[in-house]
Amino acid sequence: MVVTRRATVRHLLTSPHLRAGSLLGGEAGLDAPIGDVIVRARVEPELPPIEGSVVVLDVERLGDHLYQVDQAIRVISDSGAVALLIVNQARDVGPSVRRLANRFEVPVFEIDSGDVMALAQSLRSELLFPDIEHAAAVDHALDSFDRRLVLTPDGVVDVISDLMNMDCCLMAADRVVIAGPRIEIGGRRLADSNHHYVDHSLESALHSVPIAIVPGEEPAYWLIAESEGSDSAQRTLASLMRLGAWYLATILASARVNAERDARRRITLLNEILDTTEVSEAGIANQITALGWTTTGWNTGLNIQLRGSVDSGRVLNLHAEMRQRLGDAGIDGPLIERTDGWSGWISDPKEPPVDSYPTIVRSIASALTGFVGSHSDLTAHAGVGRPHTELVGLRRSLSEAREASMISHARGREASGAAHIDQIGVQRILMGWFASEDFASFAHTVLEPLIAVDPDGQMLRTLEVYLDANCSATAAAVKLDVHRNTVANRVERVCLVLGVRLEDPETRLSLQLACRMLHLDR
Amino acid sequence: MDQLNLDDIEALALGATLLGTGGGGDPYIAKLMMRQAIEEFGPVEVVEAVDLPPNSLILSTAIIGAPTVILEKIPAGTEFVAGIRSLAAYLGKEPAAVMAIEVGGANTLLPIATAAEMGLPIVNADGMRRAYPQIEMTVFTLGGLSAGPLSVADEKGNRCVFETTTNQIAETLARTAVIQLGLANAISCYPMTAGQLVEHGIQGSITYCTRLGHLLEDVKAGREGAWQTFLDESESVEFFTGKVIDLDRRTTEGFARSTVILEHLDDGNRTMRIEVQNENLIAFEDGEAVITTPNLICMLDSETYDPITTESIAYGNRLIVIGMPCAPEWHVEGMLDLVGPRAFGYDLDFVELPG
Repeated sequence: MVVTRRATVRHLLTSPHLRAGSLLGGEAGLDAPIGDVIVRARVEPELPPIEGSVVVLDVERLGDHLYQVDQAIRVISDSGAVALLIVNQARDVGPSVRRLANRFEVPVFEIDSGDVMALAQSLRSELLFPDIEHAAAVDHALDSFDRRLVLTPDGVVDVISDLMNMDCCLMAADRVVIAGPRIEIGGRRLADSNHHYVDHSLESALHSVPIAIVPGEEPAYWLIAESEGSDSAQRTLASLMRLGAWYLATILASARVNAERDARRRITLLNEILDTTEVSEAGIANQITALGWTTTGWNTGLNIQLRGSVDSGRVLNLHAEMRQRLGDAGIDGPLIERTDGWSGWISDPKEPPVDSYPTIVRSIASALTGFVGSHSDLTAHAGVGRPHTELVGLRRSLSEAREASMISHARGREASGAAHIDQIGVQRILMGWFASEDFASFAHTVLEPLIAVDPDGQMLRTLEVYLDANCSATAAAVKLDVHRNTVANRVERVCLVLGVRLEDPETRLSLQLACRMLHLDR
Repeated sequence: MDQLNLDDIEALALGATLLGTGGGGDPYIAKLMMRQAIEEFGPVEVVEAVDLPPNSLILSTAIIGAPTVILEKIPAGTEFVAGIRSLAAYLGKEPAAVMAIEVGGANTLLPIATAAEMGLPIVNADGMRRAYPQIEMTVFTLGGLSAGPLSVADEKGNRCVFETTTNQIAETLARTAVIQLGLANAISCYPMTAGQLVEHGIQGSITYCTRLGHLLEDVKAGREGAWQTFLDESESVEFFTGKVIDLDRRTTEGFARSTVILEHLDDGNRTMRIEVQNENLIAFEDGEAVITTPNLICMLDSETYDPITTESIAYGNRLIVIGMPCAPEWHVEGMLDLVGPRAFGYDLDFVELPG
């Protein structure tokens, strides 16, 4: 349903000013939208009323010439005007009026009013009031935006909420609320193109306007409001939301530009740190200081990798949240956006005790658990390096953290997790494999026949758990919560599909590595 | 046609009622008077104006007043001859023929009865070839002929002659006299020579009226194709067949005004509205003016094909409405000012008949 733009004849006839009158005919035309109310001494074909107008005709002034009422109906119909209001009929206008009204579907309403001009003026004010209110609201919003009185998404949402006296919020693509109070969408539809959309599936109308930072891109945000107001209130809300969405797009785009600029500076610096050799470079140290960071003392590198629908834009958008979550978990230090996640470090003037790393790993793991909890389309795994001194040490620690996060991802069947380089131990030997593109494509080729017949991944998971359980069907059955015969049966089918024999240790090792590789590659 | 005799009376009366276009006065009494005059004085000779000596005097007679009064106040019969004689005496010249001012309604037949009584021929011409409520509404006015001097006579012997400067004043003075004399009187106006009549009058009116009457008689007799022949010969257009659903009669400003509303027999939402001031003047179909004065709006009973006068219309009558073109002599400069819709107070343009 489209929000009605204008009042209809039916609406107008409910006016308190017309309560004493009656409809003579033309019911079929009651839903025509009204543009204006005009007073006419006569309605002639030479000077037809404007399209969409309701014509008020003072019948008392027509005297004997009541044929002019018939003529008026005809002219109104021909000109696209929508209704005739006959006022003060001293004599009955006769049965032809009803018939003509029905024939031409022009509602004819009669009322004794006395002052025709006053009646028309009242109806006009009533009709135009929503337009005036609408214009005032739009003007206020425009003024607020144009004079930069609000500069944040919260400010924009507040302007709309205050003007309409209802909740409004800005929601990201993953339905995380960015500004304003949360509005429950449930199963209702949001706008899927670059247009305003109203979902009427529930009693209250759910308005949504998509916001794409770059025109033509998929919408990254939605401005959402729920309204139970009148048609005119909904029309005003829709206009304000469209205006707000346009302004939000500029705010968000400018925030994006700033974030990208900052991120670029950080990533450039990170790359320089990673390239550092034995000698500390004074230039890098200066830049680190300029960004408010420090590398003096002992530095523990961190690496967070995201998998799922992720790109550099998404990482930028999630940057503030990740900072916040790590901060809340007690992890404070530089955090640098990469295309698939973040790198960072924690600095400590004194050497951290050897047994302190589990605390850091737990803190990061809990932060990531919260993070993936609100972004269900992502997985996040972190790695933590050993503490080392100075810039050169930081480089080492960052490399260790990267290896640890990769291993964590590879072995992790959970949506999030964290691992310290020392927890990985001999598994670091696998890094060479995991980092290899050739091995990634080989792993795919090996498992391809199984993936093709196993769209939900049940067989693959059974294979992986079976191998991890030292080829014990009983142990795997416990982990998978199925009967051991089921495990045995599935493994037999896997062997059949892949054309392998698991009695061969090399085959087992290859398949186990290939399964790990799939975690990384997903 | 050289003579009008008893056999022509019915057709002439039928044609006159049709040309009365709803008004013109009920020709019934006039028909009786014409019958009596012919029985008493013999057939009336019909002459063409062109066949008369150009300088010979032609005088008219007509009944003037209110149609509703004329229905009840039957003419004595003496006032018509008296009116002509008064004017002839004033002019000092005897008339060579009698003329009908309006061939339409009662005033078609009364001059014939008068001609019979006076032993004069009736001239085959008139000034309207339809009925109009006012003296000045003639083609003679358009031709610049004066309605005066004119005489007004009543049944008691009162007579007066007016000299007037304009035809509108002639109407005003005559109307004032008539109001005092009982609203059913004889008038003799537009005294003219045969030459003037040839130049400015509508020729052949009496024969046209009689012809229409005969055509309608054929229709009434149910002859095959008669209705179409009637429409073709009279160049009429059939507009509407409907039932009277509303009738509003009122007398204002000296006119019998009424509004007749018909509902179409096949489609209840189609309506025709006919505005009447003595005669049918405007017909609106669904709010749009489709026939306007000076063209004729005639209503006929849809079963008997009798032309219907406004006074006799009743709720529930089933009627055929036709539009008939006015005499071509009307189509000269000044026509709409004199007899167009605005001359009767309707702020509408003249509408040509289709076809």
